Amino acid sequence: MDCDGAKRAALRRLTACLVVVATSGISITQGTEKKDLVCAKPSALSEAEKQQRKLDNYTEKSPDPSKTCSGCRFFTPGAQATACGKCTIFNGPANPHGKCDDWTARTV
Amino acid sequence: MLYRSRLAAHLAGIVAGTLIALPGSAQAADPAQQVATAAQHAGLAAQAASVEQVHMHLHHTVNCLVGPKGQGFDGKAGNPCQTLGNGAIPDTADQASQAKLTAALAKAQAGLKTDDLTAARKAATETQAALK
Repeated sequence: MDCDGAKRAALRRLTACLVVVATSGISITQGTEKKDLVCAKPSALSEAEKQQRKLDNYTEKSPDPSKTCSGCRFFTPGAQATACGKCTIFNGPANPHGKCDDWTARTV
Repeated sequence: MLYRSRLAAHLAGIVAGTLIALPGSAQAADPAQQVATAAQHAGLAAQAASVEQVHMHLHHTVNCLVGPKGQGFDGKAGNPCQTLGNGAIPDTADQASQAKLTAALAKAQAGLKTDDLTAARKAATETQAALK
């Protein structure tokens, strides 16, 4: 009986431990989920600025990960690599993960 | 002595920071790169799907050629050559090259004047060819 009791206690501790690990794993995953960065907010742009972005097929998220604003020579990065930057084509904000038809590889 | 060397290092840092922070127009002019960028945008204009898109790209071409102080510059359209100098034409010293660029500019401006997609694309193609 003592042996069975010890085994059950050990099993309970192991189960509790596994539950804690699983719970913390879920919370870490949820904590690292990021919202998509939006740099050229339509509400902050004039009609002309919106039109220019539309004509140039600007998108906040490039369909091609190898061709994003952060790798374009017309893009000036923000304070951090993941922050919004500025585009000389649009005279305004641009997403480092974005893209438009004028994309040109940065040479430097 | 230590104070002097620290002061010198501090001043050197300020000078370096100021040079890095200088605006694009104060950077060394690169007319060849401005011409290449103007040609690239003329090419984009030649392949654009609508006349509005052709005009937008041709505005970029014109802005690269004339520079911020030149006639026909449209700052609202954006200037892809902002960090490359003051315009390919004013930054080019050679008169023969300047004449060639002026001829290309005339073709780009002709494309901007028409609302016909085919004619605007044709003008853009001719502009690109004239810049090569």
